[in-house]
Amino acid sequence: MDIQKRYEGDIAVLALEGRLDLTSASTLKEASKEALARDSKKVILNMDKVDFINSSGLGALVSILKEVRNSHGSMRLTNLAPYVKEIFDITQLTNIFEICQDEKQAISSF
Amino acid sequence: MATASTTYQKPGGTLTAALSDKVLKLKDPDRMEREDAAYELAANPDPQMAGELCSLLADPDISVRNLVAEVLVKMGNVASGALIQEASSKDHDVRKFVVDIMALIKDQAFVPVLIKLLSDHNENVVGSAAEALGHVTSPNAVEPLIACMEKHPDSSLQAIEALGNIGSISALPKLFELLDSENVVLAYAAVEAVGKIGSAKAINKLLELLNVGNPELRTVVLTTVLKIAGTGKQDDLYNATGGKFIDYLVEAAASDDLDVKKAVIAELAFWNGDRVVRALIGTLDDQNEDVVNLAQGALRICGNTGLNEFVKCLKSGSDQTRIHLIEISSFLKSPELLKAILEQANSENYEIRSAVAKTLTKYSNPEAIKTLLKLANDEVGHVRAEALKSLGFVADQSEVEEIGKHLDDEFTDVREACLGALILIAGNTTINLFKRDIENSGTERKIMAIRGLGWIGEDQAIDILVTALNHEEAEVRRYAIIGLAKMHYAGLEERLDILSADENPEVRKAVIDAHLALSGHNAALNIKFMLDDQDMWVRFYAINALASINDKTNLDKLLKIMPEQPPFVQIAIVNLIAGIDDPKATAELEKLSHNENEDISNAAREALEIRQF
Repeated sequence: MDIQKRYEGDIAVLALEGRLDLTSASTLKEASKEALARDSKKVILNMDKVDFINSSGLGALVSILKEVRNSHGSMRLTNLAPYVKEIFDITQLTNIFEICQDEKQAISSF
Repeated sequence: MATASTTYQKPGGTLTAALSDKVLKLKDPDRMEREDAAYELAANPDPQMAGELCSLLADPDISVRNLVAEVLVKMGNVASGALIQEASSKDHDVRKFVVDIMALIKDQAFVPVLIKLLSDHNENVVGSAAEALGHVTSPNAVEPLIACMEKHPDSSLQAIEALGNIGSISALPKLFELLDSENVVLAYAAVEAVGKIGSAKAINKLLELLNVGNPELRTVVLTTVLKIAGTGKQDDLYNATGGKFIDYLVEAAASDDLDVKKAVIAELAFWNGDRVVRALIGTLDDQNEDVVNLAQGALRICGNTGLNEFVKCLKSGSDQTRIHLIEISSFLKSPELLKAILEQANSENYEIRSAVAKTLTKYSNPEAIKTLLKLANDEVGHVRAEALKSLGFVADQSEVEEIGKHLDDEFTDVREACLGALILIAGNTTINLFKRDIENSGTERKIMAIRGLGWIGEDQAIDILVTALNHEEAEVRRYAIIGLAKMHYAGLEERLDILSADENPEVRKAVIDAHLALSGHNAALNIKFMLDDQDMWVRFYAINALASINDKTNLDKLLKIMPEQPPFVQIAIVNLIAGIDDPKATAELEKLSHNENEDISNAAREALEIRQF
């Protein structure tokens, strides 16, 4: 998985590309930890280019959310493909995560 | 500065000054000339020019006076000397104009002049001077402004506002006096001025006013009190009022006035203790949704400071209050609170049990998991579904078998919640449970197992799905294809050739979807073979799949099969070839536009029109 990081003030934007599975889960967790360590308590994960996600990927997202909340921060997911949205619906993650249409909406929602 | 000058005659014919042409241009009949002159004068501020400009403040033409005022304001402090001199003009209109300009320039040098003008014999000048002192804001003006109110009651309003703007606590005694004024306008102004000064010392006096009968004044007072509270330190505020402020807030949280109630709830969020929490909990039963939302937000912020009260109300509050408290509790997290929430799992009200199930998503605690497993067997389906959703986040492998039992639940929502939970928990136990289901369970449960494995997507799950491609039940084969295609499993492609000859048309349709998922726009070559499928619905599905990738490579094949197709398939072909820029396609469409079947001929004509366009 390729992760492009950028910072807009105190907001960390992580744009993910590729498969979010067991192999890439740890890479993503590391990237989000790095963002929190930089004092970016607001995290956006742009899922636009995620072409596959499985339960390990979902587990990684839940674990990142917990970490962000423990750091008194907040997190938004954006640009969910219909395929990703489907598994979010099945697993009820739509009720747990704050999901925005795009990065612009996510930034203004903080 | 050497400039050409012309004599200027004031109204009445008195020759008073020689003015530069540049200044006189402000009186030019041409608007552009006037504006250019104004721009140049403002861009090159000069004290001499300012003096000349002041002499135009008595011009009979109001537009000239306004333009001059504008230029003087833009000149700023450079014009101060000229304005101070002009402040002693004999013309009271000029004096007032000068004072108004001073208010905008805000030079401290104006303060003595403005104070002097508080004793002007013209009331308009006095009022403007008082107002201007509110803009220049010097503490030296406090006493003169107070004295001015005695001598010129008509200018009291401006003086009060000025005192507020100056912000000196030395003005408070006089302002307190005015709070009791019979003149409501002055009392309002005094309250607002006190608010601007923002001293905690003012709170006591303002709180007294809250007991007076005038409800409109009460709202202004409350806004002012909360404004001071928002800017000051809470300890200072508490000490200054001897605790009265918090008494008032607690009492006002139960006010009948909606605005008061909302403002107080917002303030209470920043205070601590059982009394505060009790007062906020008391508003959770309110009929107004905004009040309840505000109270919930406030309790999330300060709820931890009154956990005793929180726990007490969880046990004894109304059902609605308890539901709200349970929802809020996940933001607070304390062992005592968790214990109280778990007790609510035995409530007779299913909405309360459901709220408990929902909030326990955030507690990875053995007792919480035990309660969720119990709620997963609740008599109400909604509660079971909520419990299973939460278990997906907090349970682990050891609870998989227990959770898996609910895949047989009578309600779809519960079964789906169960599947979602198992996907989130994943791991070997879940995969084995699904494997067993594929081998031994009924069709519906087999399909759920296949779907679950498709989302778990680890190697072991993939192996089971690949085996399921040969399952005797067509639905299982179909979902196995869908699951493997979703994860872009590379080994699927070589199996699709065999599966494209599957006896079941739904499986063959899944093959088409799989080709699209695996190859995207390059899937046309493989889908082409499905155009010869024996089932017209599969052929129809294949044509639509080709249309979805905007395929232009299968024209010959499509034209070949066209005549043998039923009308609805022919229409699908027409829609597909409409986008292919080829004379053969055009010829076929023209031919079809005369087809005896009206639907086909209409579709062909429409396609031809689109092509022409």
